[in-house]
Amino acid sequence: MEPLQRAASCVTESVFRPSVNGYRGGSGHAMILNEGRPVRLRAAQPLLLFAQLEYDVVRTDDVDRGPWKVRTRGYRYHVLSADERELVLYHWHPGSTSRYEDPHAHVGGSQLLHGAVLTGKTHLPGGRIVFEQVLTLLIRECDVVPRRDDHADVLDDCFQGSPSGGRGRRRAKGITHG
Amino acid sequence: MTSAATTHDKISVEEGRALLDEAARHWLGISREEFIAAWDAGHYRDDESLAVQQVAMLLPFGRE
Repeated sequence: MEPLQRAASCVTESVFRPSVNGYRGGSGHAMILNEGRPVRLRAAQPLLLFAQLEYDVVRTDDVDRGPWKVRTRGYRYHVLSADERELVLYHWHPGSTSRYEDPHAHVGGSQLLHGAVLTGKTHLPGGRIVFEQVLTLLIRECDVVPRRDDHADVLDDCFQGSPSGGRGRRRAKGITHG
Repeated sequence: MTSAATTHDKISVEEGRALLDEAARHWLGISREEFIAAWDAGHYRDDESLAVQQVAMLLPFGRE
């Protein structure tokens, strides 16, 4: 949880808190930012951020991470306008009520013209997104004002420590979301 | 400069229930109990609307 919290500290004082058994080994855990209430981000156009992850705590033989590690099982990252209209929703919720179980994104209706081919219900396929990538998007592309001067290094470090970063994907500093 | 936070308090069962109820009333205008019943009955199957997902993200905290 600490890397995630460190990443969040780039844009907010709000913290992630786990579900009731969230520090124990086992499955079915979740953590949520700011108790699920909106995190208000400083930007030219103020934005709201919501973030929730579901995870298991499993044993690992990795000496650098062990004896326990967190294995993410799903997430919801929501970026809204200040009046609570969706801009972009990143979802991965296998086992939920949706038949679409792969990671995907929804572009908010507020960003689409009437009659567009894409709607807010469209599942845009995508690779697994980590929280640090969402924060990088907000700072680099949406003019969110970071709270700390070393945000690029912090997000890069956290991204490198994540499963996605550790698999050799592009570094957070150079994410283009192409 | 802000230092990174470390371990934070778990959300208790009671707190989770209150948060789920708060979200259900804010986003859908229904109570926690009504949301759980509708969710379990499949009324939100394939519903990825913002409002439903905003409430669903609190299910792991306030379902029990």
